[in-house]
Amino acid sequence: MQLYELSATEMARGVRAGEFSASEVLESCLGRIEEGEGALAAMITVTAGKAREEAALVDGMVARGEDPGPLAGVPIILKDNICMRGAPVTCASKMLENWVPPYDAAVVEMAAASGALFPGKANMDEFAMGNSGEFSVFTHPSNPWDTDRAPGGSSGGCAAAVAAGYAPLALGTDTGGSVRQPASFCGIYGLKPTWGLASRRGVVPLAPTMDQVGPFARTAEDLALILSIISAPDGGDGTCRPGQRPDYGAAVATPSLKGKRVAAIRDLEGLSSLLDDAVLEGLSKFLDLCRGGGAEIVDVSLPVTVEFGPPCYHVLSRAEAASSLARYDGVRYGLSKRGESLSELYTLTRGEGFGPESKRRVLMGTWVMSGANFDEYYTAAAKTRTLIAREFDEAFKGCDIIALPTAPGPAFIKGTQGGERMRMANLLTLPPNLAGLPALSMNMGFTGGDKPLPVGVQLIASRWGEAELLNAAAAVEKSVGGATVASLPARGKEGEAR
Amino acid sequence: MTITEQEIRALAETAKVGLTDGEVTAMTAYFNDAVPFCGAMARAAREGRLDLDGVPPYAPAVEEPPAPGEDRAVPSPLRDELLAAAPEARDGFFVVPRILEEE
Repeated sequence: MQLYELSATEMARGVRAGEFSASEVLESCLGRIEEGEGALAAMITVTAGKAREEAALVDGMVARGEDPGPLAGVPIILKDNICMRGAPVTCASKMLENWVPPYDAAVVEMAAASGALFPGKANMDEFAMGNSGEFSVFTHPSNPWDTDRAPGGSSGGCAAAVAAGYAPLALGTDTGGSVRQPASFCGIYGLKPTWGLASRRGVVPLAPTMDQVGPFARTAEDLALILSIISAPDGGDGTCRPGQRPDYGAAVATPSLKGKRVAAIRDLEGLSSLLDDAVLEGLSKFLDLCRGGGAEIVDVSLPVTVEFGPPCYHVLSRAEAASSLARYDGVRYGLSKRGESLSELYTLTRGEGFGPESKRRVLMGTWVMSGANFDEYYTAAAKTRTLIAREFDEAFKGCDIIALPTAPGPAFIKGTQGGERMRMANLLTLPPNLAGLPALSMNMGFTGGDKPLPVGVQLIASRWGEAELLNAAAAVEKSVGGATVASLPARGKEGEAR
Repeated sequence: MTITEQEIRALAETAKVGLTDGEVTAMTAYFNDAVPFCGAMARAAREGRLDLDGVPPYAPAVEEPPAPGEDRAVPSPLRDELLAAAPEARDGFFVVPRILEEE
């Protein structure tokens, strides 16, 4: 077994015990990145030099008998909207292509203080808007299980990287499914924490009432390990909840489904035409494993969520994006196209700096908040969101976990999404963002055929219920195993992959 | 309701986003496709299928709002680095085009 194939937990244990060095772990992962990038384009910036310095510091601590921390020598890939001092944070946009932040995001500070290494920044949809990676203005990332297919989005590069063994962990962001959907497409774990659990200081905002930083991993144990570190309270983010977090490590150490009530959503039956058989089979398999583990299977009804979740999200996420992206004005940082007047400076800069999806969202967000449209679109959506949150509150009186497919199907072929299909692609992942709930995606096997594709299942819990999700995932993992590292496609596919 | 290219141009001016003629055409098509979708909630409310009466707009729940911090000035160590990364800076300030006419 190669070092890059180890879990984060195994890497940190080996480095702390002196069985191998952080530098050896890093070189193994950097080798994997070099081997895979031609076909996958999962990365925007590789920061090998910086990571080597970090590894040398960890190795120095071990040599002196000091403990570098629970992430000792563990490489973590960062989505390129999470700031890391000294490296560009492009958001896969021309707007920020050359901007280097002079600070670390809170989650980067927390992981670095625990001994983590940061080998690079991952590809994504521009400003985290999209579900295939194809709105990146640089290159389009590919799915390691089939490079003709998308790794998902917007954190597609992170998911492809962890699935391909570039690193055992990655940090992405999830506003409407951007961690969970790519995790399901790439056959790994992805977690969106409760809104308010993880600090967003130093993370480029998209829709602030929905955004959360979320980890990717190949085992439930690793997911608990990284969550326990990045969920520390942070006064630098006013929405980050103060106080003690649960012991996530304990939740995966002794997993049990006995007596848990796991619910399926009745209303999804009406949407079966939108859902691929493979994901419905994945859900059945998950429910069977829960039943076998001693859980009680119940059902819940979420009619407003299922019917109105997608338009509600469409309106509110655009409104918030228009507001968040107002900061890109060509004055303080990023691209600047100087004109004669201030108005011309703004219009030229934003006209040239934003890609097509950013422009669509800024304009739609502006439109739904303008004049008479405000009540018809924005207020109606904001009220509907209250009903959706209430619906979940009610549902959780009768269950501990809600299970549903993560995405309508397995990874799609690149270039085939648009219009209605794209609007409905995050139908199943956006409800937890609207209601502020934690949700996790885990692999539930593969499709048939000569290029089998991963199939994901999604678990939703009530607020602050991450330990509940991790416990259930770890219990099911005992039957299905953790995620495996994908084989890299043969070299020489560079042109094709991009 | 049909949204015209003229309305899209006015909207782009409000949002300060430059659009080419081709982009205006594509944007108009997107709006005419997406706006009916976005109106699903108000429409359902009018048809009596969704009861929004008396429902407050959603506000993210903050159960334990952080206590206000002490109000004190602290030096920012980032000032010079941020200004160095600016498109144009002078005498410790960002430079913008003149917005007032000279007398």
